[in-house]
Amino acid sequence: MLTRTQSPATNTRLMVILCIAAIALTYWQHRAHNAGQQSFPERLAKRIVWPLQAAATSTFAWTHDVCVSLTHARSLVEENRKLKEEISRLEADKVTLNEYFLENKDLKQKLGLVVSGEVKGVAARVISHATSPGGPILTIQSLDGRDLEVGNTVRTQRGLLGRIISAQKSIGEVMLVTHADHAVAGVVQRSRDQAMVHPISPIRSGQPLLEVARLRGQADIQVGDLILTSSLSDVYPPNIPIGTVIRVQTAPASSRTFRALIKPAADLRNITYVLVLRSAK
Amino acid sequence: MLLLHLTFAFLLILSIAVEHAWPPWLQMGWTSPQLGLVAVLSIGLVSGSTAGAVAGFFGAIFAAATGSLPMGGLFITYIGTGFIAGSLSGRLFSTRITVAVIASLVAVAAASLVHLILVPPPQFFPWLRTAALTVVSTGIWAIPVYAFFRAIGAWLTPEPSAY
Repeated sequence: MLTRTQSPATNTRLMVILCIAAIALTYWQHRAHNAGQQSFPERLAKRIVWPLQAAATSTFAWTHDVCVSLTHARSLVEENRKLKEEISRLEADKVTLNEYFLENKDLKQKLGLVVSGEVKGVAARVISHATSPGGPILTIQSLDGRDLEVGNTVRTQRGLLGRIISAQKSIGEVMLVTHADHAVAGVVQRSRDQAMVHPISPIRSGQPLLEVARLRGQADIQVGDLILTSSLSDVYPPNIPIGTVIRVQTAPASSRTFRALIKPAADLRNITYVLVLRSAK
Repeated sequence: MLLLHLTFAFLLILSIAVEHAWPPWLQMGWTSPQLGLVAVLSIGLVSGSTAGAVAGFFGAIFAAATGSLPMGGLFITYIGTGFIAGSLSGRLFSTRITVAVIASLVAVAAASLVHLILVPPPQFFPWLRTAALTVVSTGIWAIPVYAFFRAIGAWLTPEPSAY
């Protein structure tokens, strides 16, 4: 179709140049990663790809929405009606809670207690769902253009998503709780038992699940228990829902060891907007 | 020719962007098709070994940066795929889509093997399952991707009489 009349010498010279450049870039990347950074070519390449990734993600989301709308029109109308009722009920609850809050604040001030400030959050949009060898990595962009920082906690309204592992201005990469390299200190809401929460490979479990390992002392954990981030965690702020226990197993090797499977609180397969908590530890 | 190369460069970056923005509802067993590798293969088949190797070089950089992956293994597979596809396209390889599909299956399997050697997974059988699903999904999506590259190549290539 095109001219393919390159001489063997030209091809050989080109391949040698490419190989040398490839070795140099690989070495550069290796050194940068050892220093906990990204090499300049990586940052530049990401800058070029991110707008296209964002556009592709939006297009896929729009296509999905259209398909769902077309196939579930009737149930969506019903869901919409229920959600409107829910909004009305929640608005009423909000007014009541606001009254309680003001009353509580007033009482605290009268008692001389410090009134804690609100958690500072930044809304962000997901611009890509990348897959890395360890699991999914999200790329997010803050909606108001504010800079994101490495270590920021990322959550949805339902619960914990993960934390930012690399950031360039308003764009950051999020390691999800289901990533193989992720672990979080959790606490069982009912019994206050401390537990380390690790991911399970989705290939093993068929869906993104977490598991509790190394329960401290007498493990008191049941199906339906809510696992929250622990105040012992150096990474996350406390009391963010991690997930709900869906199964408790006793390991075959030792009856004293519990293995509790946890369904993440956040819906990890349908994430569009997230909240970045900048006041994380 | 410049317009063709610029178009292919844009399409290569777009393929990598789409690969890494692949939505979960289109994934096959938690795997996404390696569209970047298919784009490199297509450029090699359409434009020859030189363009294939260069596309593989830049494709590896973009794929590594976007997927937070080590560059070494990607350079081997991407440059190798582009160069070999381009070298054989005028000889053994025809421009049929079926050939592109088979070539993409081989390329993805080779890429998975290189990854297995350079970054051994903790468990073999989950890796094997993931690799097999990636090969299948890439083979399916190679059909429209290669057809598009071929059409763009035919559209933007100067006619022989123009020389």
